[in-house]
Amino acid sequence: MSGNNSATMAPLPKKKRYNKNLAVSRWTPYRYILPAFIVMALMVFYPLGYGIYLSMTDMSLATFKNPNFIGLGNYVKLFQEAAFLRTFGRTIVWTIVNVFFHVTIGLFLAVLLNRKLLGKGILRVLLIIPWAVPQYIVALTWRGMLNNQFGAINIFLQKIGFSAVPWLTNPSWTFVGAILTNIWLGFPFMMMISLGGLQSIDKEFYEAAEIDGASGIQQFRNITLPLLKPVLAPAIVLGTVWTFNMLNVILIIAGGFGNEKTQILVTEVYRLAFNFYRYGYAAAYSVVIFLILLIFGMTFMKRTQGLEEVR
Amino acid sequence: MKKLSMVLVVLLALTLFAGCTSEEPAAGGETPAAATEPVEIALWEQMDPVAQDVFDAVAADFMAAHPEITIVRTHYETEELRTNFQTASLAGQGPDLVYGPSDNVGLFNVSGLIQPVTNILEASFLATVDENAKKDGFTAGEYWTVPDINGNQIAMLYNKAMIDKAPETWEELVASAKDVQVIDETNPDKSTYGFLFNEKEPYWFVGFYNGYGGSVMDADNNPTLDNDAMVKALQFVKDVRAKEGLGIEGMDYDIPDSLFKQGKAAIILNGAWSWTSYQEAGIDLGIAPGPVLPGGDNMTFYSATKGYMISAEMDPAKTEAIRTFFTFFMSAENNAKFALANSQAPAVIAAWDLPEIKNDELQKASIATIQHTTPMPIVAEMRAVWDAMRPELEAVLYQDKAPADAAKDMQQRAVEGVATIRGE
Repeated sequence: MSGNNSATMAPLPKKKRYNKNLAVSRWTPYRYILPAFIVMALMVFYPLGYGIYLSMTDMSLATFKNPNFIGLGNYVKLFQEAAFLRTFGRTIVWTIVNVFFHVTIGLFLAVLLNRKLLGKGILRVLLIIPWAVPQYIVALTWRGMLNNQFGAINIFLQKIGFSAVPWLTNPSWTFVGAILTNIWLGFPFMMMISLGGLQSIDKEFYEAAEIDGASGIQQFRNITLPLLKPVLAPAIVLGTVWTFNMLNVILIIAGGFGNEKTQILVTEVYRLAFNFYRYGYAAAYSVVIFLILLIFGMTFMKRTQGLEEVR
Repeated sequence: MKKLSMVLVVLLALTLFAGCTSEEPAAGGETPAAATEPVEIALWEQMDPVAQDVFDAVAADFMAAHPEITIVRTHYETEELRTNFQTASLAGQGPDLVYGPSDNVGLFNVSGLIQPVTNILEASFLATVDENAKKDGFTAGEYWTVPDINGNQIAMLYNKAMIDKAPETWEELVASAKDVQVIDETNPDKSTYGFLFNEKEPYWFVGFYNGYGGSVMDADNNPTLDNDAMVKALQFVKDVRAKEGLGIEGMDYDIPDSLFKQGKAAIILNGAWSWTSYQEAGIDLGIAPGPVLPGGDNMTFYSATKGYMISAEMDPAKTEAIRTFFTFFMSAENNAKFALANSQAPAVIAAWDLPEIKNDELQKASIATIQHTTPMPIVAEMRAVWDAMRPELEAVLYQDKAPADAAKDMQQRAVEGVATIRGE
């Protein structure tokens, strides 16, 4: 049978010449990522490694060209400083309050914009403005609005019967003013991310929930939030990192490094590096900030299962 | 395909590393370049836009007269210039000359990034520069800058439409200010203010401290802030509002500046950099030294120069070209152009007698008020002093802290800051 078949079969086509250049080997993916890896190595890994090395030196003005290696000396000094713990606590308050309001305001507005609403397009543009205007300009504008005597906020407060708030002359109020400014700057990002996530949720989920008699709050808690999680969790991590490392707003609203009560960790790094020229010590601060954010990011993503698919 | 990808990777790597290559500087003691050999002078500067235009015009004349020399100017803002020069010098990629404020000298010379100007320039050349201006770049027994303008000083500015004559004493100032001051509590926009200044900025405050005989540092650059002069200065600044009823709580830079431009403030204290803007705003501007303080001397603000520093990494083969550059740019005529562009006094003595300087109102005011200033210390430790002053000044002004306690805490904070800077 097979002999007959073979006798009647058409001759096999000539074997195609093997093209070595087109072959996919196990090294192919690495070749594709090599250019990106080289850039990453130069732009990310090398500076990070150099920063860690710097944090173990006594590099300052006097030792700028020939810093001495001092091991963990900077870290020991840093953790013994009472000011570090105070500033760290203030940074935590700064970050939690800001991110909380960024997410709640952003999510609230996103839900609002995801509904049928008159003038939705214009509203969306208006709400993105704080994000579109350069931070520096926004912070300067807020500084003007927070002015004790001529600022719009105090004028408004006095018109409705409250007394003026010493925004720029009392360090605690200055810190509150900086938080207000940063909330204004940060909510549009969360709003846009949330809106994108909301628009990708299939309407059928809500229709089914309505048939089952679920209330609006139940729908939000059991459909919207779980389905937004893959979008919102990385955005919260990103927002936390940005807020934790926010320099411009604090410096502009507080008018510099004047009072310790208005400073956070990253402004302290800047002050140590560029006011006091303690490059090694400032690098140790930076590494600690990096580790705090790394641990937070990994823990948060793991706890929220933000990188896993929704089941 | 493999070959192609290899070529691409090599090309990419070459592109990325291209910026990291370094040219070996010529060994010291090499013969300077012959006049006909092309030489490029790299200059990094922090100049105002008008000064940049003047520089380009003078540089064009220079390069036409010396075709073998090319000047490459790169502009940076103050902080950028500082950090970029430090970073680039560390990598051996810095410029030949750096132009900027004299307070950079303390940082750059301690770090070994600049060299004394006497290494390159003859004593006869430096003799043409004003002694006070030169002093501003003098530390550790050497001159580190070639100053081209001297100023940045704060002076008393008054609106001649509101005040006839410049007050010479604090008592006269208070009387004149109270004469014109009209405060409308319900609508600040309708108010007219007698006297305003940036009350929480140490650069202003130090004028009162110096006026009471204080000095922020001793000869060894250690802070000297806890003394009778500091207590008097803090009490004075508090009394401006509390006792005399002049000023506005929380006065910063912008409030006096904008109200003076609007003709709603009669007298302010502000620096030479701002004077032109008031003339442009149509204010009939009077400029005078700060008045005599009660129980003290004249308010004595700081002056500071701007000028050129020579990089420690400068190629010795460029020495002759650099000398030619300075001879040209620091001629009386060219120096006067920079002084006029910056509205600050020229550093070259011969420029003071040129008609364009003598006949210019702002130049006259600048030269007159600078006599009542003292050069700002340029050492790195000064940052710790500024850092210590501000919170204590604010505590006295806004939290009722006793001046004596503030002076004590200010000193302690400054000592700690200096220790941090010195790495102690």
